[in-house]
Amino acid sequence: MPTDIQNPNSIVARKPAAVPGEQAEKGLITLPGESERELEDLAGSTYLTTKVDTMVNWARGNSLWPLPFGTACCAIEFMSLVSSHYDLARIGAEVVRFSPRQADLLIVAGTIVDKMGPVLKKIYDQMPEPKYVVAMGACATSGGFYRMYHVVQGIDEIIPVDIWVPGCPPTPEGLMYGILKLKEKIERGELKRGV
Amino acid sequence: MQVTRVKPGVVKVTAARMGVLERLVIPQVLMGMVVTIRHLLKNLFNLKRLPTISYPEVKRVYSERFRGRHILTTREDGTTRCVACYMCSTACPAECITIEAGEDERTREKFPARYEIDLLRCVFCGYCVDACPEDAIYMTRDYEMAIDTRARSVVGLRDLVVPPNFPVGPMGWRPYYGTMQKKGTAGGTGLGQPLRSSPFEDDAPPNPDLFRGSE
Amino acid sequence: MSTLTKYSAIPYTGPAPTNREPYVPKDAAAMDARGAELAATLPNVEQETGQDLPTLIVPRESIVGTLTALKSAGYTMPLDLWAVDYPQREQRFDVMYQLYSLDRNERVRLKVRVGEDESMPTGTGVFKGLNWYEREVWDMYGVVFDGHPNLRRILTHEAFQGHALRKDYDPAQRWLLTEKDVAKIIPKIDPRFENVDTDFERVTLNLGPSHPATHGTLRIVVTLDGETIIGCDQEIGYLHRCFEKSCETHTYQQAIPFTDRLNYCSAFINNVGYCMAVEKLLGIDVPKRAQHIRLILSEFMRIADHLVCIGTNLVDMGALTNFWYLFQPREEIYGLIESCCGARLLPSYCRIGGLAVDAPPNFLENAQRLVDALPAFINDVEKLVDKNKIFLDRVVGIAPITAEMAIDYGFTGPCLRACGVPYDVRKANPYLGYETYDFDVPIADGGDTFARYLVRMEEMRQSLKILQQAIDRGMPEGAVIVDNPYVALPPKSKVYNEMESLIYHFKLIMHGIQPPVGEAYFQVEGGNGELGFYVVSDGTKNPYRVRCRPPCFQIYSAFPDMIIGQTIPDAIAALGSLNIIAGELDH
Repeated sequence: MPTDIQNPNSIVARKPAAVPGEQAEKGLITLPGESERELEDLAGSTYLTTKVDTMVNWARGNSLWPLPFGTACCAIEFMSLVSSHYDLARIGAEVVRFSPRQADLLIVAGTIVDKMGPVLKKIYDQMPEPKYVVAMGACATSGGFYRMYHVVQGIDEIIPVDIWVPGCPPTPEGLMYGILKLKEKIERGELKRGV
Repeated sequence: MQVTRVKPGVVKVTAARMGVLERLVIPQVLMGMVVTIRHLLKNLFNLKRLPTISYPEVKRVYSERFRGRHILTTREDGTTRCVACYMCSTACPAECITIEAGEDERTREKFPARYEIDLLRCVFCGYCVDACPEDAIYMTRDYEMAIDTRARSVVGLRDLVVPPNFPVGPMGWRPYYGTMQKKGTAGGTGLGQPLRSSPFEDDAPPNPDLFRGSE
Repeated sequence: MSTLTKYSAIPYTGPAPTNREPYVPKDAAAMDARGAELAATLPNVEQETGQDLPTLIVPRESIVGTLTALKSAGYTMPLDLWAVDYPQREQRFDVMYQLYSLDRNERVRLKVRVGEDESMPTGTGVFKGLNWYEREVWDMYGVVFDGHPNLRRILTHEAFQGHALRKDYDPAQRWLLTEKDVAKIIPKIDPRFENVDTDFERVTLNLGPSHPATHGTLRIVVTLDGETIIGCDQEIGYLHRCFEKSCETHTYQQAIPFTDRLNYCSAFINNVGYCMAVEKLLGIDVPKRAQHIRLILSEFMRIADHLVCIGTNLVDMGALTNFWYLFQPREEIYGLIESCCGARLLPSYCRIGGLAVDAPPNFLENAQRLVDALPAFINDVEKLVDKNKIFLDRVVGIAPITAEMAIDYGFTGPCLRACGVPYDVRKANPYLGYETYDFDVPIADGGDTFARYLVRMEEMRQSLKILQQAIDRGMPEGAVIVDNPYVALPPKSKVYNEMESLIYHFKLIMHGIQPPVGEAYFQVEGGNGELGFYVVSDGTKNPYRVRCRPPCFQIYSAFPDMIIGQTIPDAIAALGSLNIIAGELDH
């Protein structure tokens, strides 16, 4: 274990990430084979508009403003993500806004129950375009193990979702992996939102 | 704050007694800023001691008990150890495992014709690993499972079964045989042997002496 | 594959035949004697023998008289009120009260048999804390309480039809709530402010369920007169995840991950509470090593819970630095828990009869490092905040509650200790060996937000004291789980090699633990107060009823009384100090 990245005050060990492909670790964000995805044909666009598009997408991807719609345990892991150990601010998502009018990334962290459904829909509707949704955790993605009379079986019953992050709760690094994946998708222009 | 004893076993906490200088607002605020500036200077001049883990360039090492993504193990000849006994799907509180058993003509053993785990339903409790009588399902330390299409959420045999020579990361939650109640040996039939010798120094093979039991 | 499995309604055909005697509690004789004493003093009351608490069966009409008599006899705290459904019986509901006497440290349980079309008189005139509990019993079972001021649904939504915890209610039956069904709440104005004539208009403000300062999913509707709050009403249930029904459809072992998610900030303590309740029902004793590890992890989880509470409370008041300072040691605590249990936040590490696996060899060493490192962070926050006039102006005297009112509401935990009442389950009814440790219970005066902050800070230091003693004692040798093949899975070395163990393993997974027929209640000190689990078994592999007594339920029901007459920022500061965890509140 290399010593220059360890923190002597911490009981948590660190390791450098592997080169993509070795040790079966997945590539930083993209799975091997994903980069050859076909993008939509940008018909009717000139060289200038594609460059502008790339710049705009780069800017959007690097300045996500999250709205943590935290209801349950996953909200605590989100709080860990914005804390000093993992620090979501390093990838640009520093400004955590609780008002939907000022945010563009809705992170649904926690169980959404039927009583909360209209609230979630209202918050989503109030967000201005372009907006992205990350469903975090087993409960938000699919209802988890609550196949019960009051639990929404996945928030895609109510709002469209871009990234699903499994886990119960997902580790903060797993969530950061999901957000980085979303960032790559935005920068590649795959998420065309209102443009 | 001041702490005074009221009676044995009970202490009373009251506000700290503040001197005249401390009652003024500004000096106390400045004292508070001393604390934050001390942290700032400590972090500024000693970058190694920052608590931040710079994911994705640096990753945190999880222990050998971490409950991450599942894998199905294989024997030396490449067949899965799983015999489709349905114990994992019965033990699962989320009912996320779907199995269809098939019969292997050559050996008359059951094998899973279809084995699917719905990763979005799974709560990563590890009950499937505890319930398996065949050493067939392990959990790795992989937590990077975010997906962007719902179709990828259900992982089947193709994603779960680890072929014999495939380099796989360090293992997480797996059966610690001979541990829970009695000091035991590692089993004579070879079933209890670790998956393969691991090149990772933080992935020690399960050590029966690690978990002492009473006699 | 359909993601919503259709369960059939559970047909209840009577207790499954078991080859064990029904559950007889260890101290049944003493409890029966006490119950007989109480029954002699109260008219119309019968005693039920063989229970783990003195139990009295009270007819419906005389429940208010019995409650009043017990209150004047010293049972001043209403701990719990819930119901159990026996549909085969003529009077199908068993509504149960639990009262507690602080002076004598005794509990009493009252059972009232109510039929489907019968109603009960309300107990809110006797104990304020029964208000929300009666609403919950109405919501879940349909028992009407005559005279209740506000009998409407509390946990499920307005468009919900049926009563969820009845045995004939299909667990997967959902009802759709649309925006137009959501009820408009107009809070009643407090009598003190009704006739105040001012020039200001009265405004109703909704601090909705999606709000940065309502931790999780709490909705508060306030009526404002200028800036003063003159009326307040709350809506909860925005995280009702059907814990109690889930326990009825899963086995005893499978319910453990569900208990984790109740108070998710200190998840291991819920595990311990539930497992100890089931172990009490089974009559087994957990090995010493398992108790020791359970104690160490419970105290670390308690520290983690208080760190979250104080951190988020200070963030709501604007002091963001403390949030970072307090969340950093939490990561280290998670490192320790993850190295032992396998998961950071929600370990599911307890099993019935002990623990899942043994602690790693460097467990005590890492725990010692943490215990050495934690006081620095707590001291830093204290230096920033303790003598800071800005902070003190915001918390001293804010949202006070008197000790009498707190007891009447059924407060427990740090909120009750902040009123000056030294009640702690670890001292009153010790478990896991707490009686052998030297620690103090912190109390403070006034019951205001500042007092709650002080109590939590000192409680963290007391937890560190317990941890240091536990680490110094070293880990006892032995197994970590009981050696009973009907309760705990056999070790894998045997399962792989011996036929007998394989059969026990198979039977435990497929048929589950089948405890004797009976009911048991066990209480532990959670992060917020007395966390009680009441388990009713009918001998089958699924529990018949599991009730979790959430400590923050009654604390939150007293919130309007605490903030009437103050302003909104005071209300936000007070809400943070109560540590309302929605997972526990809405169970």
